[in-house]
Amino acid sequence: MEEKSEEQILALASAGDEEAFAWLYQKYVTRIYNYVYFRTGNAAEAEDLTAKVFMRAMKHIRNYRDLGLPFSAWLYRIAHNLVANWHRDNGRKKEIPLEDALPLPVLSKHPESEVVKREETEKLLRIIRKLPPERQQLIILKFVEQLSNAEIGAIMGKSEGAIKSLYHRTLLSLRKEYERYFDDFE
Amino acid sequence: MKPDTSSLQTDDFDDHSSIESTLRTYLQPVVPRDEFVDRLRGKLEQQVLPIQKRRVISFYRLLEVTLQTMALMVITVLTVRVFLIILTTWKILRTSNVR
Repeated sequence: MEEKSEEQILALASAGDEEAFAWLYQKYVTRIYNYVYFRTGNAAEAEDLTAKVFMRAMKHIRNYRDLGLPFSAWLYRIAHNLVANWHRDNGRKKEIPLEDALPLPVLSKHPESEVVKREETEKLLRIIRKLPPERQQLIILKFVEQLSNAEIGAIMGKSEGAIKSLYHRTLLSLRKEYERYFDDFE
Repeated sequence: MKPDTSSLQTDDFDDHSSIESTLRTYLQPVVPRDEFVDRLRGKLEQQVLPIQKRRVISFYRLLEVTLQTMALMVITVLTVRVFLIILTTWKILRTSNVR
C-alpha cells in the first residue's frame, strides 16, 4: 500500500479492497477522533461516534466519487452530520465531566501544572461549545487538526475567502463569549 | 469561591493574536486509546466479510429461487400431461368396454 498514491488507494477501497480501507482507516482515525472529541467533549461518545463514522464510510465507500476534494473532507462531513445528530438528541448544554477527558498527549513531569492545564482547557472548551456549530468546527479544524484555510474550505464547502471572514468573526465572538463567561464569575 | 482564571483573562485578548495563542496552547490534539483503535479495526474487518458473504448468498438465493420456479413449472406441466394421458386412456378403455 505504501508505494501507492492516496487516489489509487481510494480507488481500490471504492472497489471493495479491504486492505485499502484499512490503510485509510489507520491514516484518518486519530483526526476524526479528535474532531469528534472536541465537538462532544466526551471520550466515550467520541469513541462511539468515531466508530459510527467509519462504519458509515465503509458502507458507502463504493459510492464515493473523487470530485477533487480530499477524502478527509468526505469523512469530516460524515463526522459533522453524526455530531449534529448527537447534539440534537442529547441537547446542546450537556456538561462534560472532567474525569471523562483523556490525558493530554504530552506528559508533564509536574502533575500539578498538568491539572491546571486541563482545567484551563475545560474552561476554553466550555466557551467554544457556546459558539454555533459551524464556528466550533472551524476552530477545531484550525487549531486541533492544524489545517489551512483552503483545506478547511474544502471540508466545509466554502471558499478560502469565506473561511478567512468566518475565522475573523469567530475570534470576535469568542472574545465576547470570554467576556460574558468571566463576567458571570464576578 | 471565584475560580482562578489567571491564564484566561479577557485583558489578554487585546487582539486576535492573543486569542490564537491561547487556542494554540490549550487545544492540543488527543490520542485515542490503542485498545479502541484496534477494536474498531477488528470490527470493520468483521463487517467486510458479512457484506461480501451477503452478496454471494443473495446471488445463490436468486439462482435457487429461479431454479425452483422452473422446476415447479415443469412439474406442473408434466402433471397436467400425465393427468390428461390417464384421462384419455380411461376414456378409451371405457369406450372399448362399453362396446
